[in-house]
Amino acid sequence: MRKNFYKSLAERFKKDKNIVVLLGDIGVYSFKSAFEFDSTRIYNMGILEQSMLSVAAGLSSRGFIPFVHSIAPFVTERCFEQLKLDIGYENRNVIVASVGNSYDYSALGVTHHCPNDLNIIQSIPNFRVFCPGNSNDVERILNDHLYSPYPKYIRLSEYENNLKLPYEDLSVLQRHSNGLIVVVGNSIRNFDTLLKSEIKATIVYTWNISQFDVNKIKTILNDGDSSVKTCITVIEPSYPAGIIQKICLNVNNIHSINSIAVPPAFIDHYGVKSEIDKSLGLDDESIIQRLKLIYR
Amino acid sequence: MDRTDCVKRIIETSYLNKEGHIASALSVLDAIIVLFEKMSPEDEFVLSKGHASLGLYVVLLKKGIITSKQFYSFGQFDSILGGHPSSHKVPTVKISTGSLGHGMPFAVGVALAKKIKKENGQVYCVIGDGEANEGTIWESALIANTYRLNNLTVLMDYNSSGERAIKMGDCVGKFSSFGWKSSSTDGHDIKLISQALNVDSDSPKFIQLNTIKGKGCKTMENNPEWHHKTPANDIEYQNVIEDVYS
Repeated sequence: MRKNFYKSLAERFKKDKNIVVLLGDIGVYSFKSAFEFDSTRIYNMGILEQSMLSVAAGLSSRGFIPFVHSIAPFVTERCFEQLKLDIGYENRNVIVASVGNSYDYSALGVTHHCPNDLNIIQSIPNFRVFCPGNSNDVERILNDHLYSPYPKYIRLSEYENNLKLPYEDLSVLQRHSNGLIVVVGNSIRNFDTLLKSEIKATIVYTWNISQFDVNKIKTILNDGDSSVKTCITVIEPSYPAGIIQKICLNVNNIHSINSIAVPPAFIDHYGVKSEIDKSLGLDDESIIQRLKLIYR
Repeated sequence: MDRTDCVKRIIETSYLNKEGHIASALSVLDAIIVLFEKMSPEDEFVLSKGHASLGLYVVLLKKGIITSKQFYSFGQFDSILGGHPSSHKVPTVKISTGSLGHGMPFAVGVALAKKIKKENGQVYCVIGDGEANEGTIWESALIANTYRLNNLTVLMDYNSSGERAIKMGDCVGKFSSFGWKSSSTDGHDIKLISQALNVDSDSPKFIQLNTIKGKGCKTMENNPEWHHKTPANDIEYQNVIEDVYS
């Protein structure tokens, strides 16, 4: 997902002279062709994330569309006030694209984990928050939102799910009257396994966090028998990011609601991501087992 | 521009509305007066130390950019003029400052944008010595020199606010060591400020303005009590107005 994002952004950069790229000392080599094309619009800003975001706000005030790219905790938690005031309050069209997706940098430890980024950015009015599950989603987000006049946060990951087609921001993958499962971004890696597991529930997929379409959820549920109380499960690759709250506040006839997400605790282990997934019960196999218990 | 009248108006609206960092507005006032006389439409101004907003507002009033009614509504519920300037409300303001250390990196972004677009004009940014405690000031100093933003001038209102906490010491030396063309001058002498602004440079420019907090009102000068205080009653108001000198 990250590499495809680089490729896509480099192509857009060459076509649109209003795009400026600010890198927090990552991805520099991958943007070699962009640097060669026009070095006045792409900068390795080094290790100064707070100022990088304020600089982006200044560029935006003069009509540029800045992309700011760095590792998730450094471009979210470290510089929250710059995001809130210089970009959020000013409602600048700045695209903050993070990488690191909760604990992608598993072996680097807690300093490089950021499972709370979606909540943090979502708490800032005006920001649109996206959690794509694959490169098609990223393309869709850029195509639909790049030129819209609001700030955007795109959570990139090293790991994609295997959905091949471009999906809308809320798509039904499977229909069943026995309940609802909402899968966010790349919280499930292999959808073939999930869809073949004969779980008796409607399965929807989304990557749009801040504009999660709860009315569409209501429509989907009312397509079935609205008198039946619904068991709902939300699967997220982060801390729970508000989708459950939106559902609870808007959907009637909920029998039970379940959250499968990164737990609010420091992950004090290293290893590869799949090891941490497994230890938290967030690998595909563990998630599907839990779903089978919920929807048996 | 009549400085004494500006000082009186700042104290007056602050007293009427029970809000305002009067002393900081008075230390920065001369620099803002000079800049608004000097700037062309191609130039940009950023008041990074947003709490000195009354110093900006009174100049906007004198220049006819805001009305007297607006000026004297300072801090009221429906006013366009808050204790810190909002870009959504105040003409000429491009970034809402108040939290310190945001305006200077923003100004760096504006200067960089003008370089990319090959536009003329300078970006002027006013910071404080206390504000220079913030790491983003020095991050911005690094960026501006790295990209040789000689269209950026930062003026430091060195009113010694920082003396009560983390002292900034020799900021001319500090900015020079970051590659800026740096100088120091009397921040209340309009001719000297103008001369410092007119110096050509291939690098970003730093001007330390040696100022007095509360300048122009004897009661307030270098008196920490007046950092964020307004006259408590008519008697105190009359006393400080009588203390205003030219």
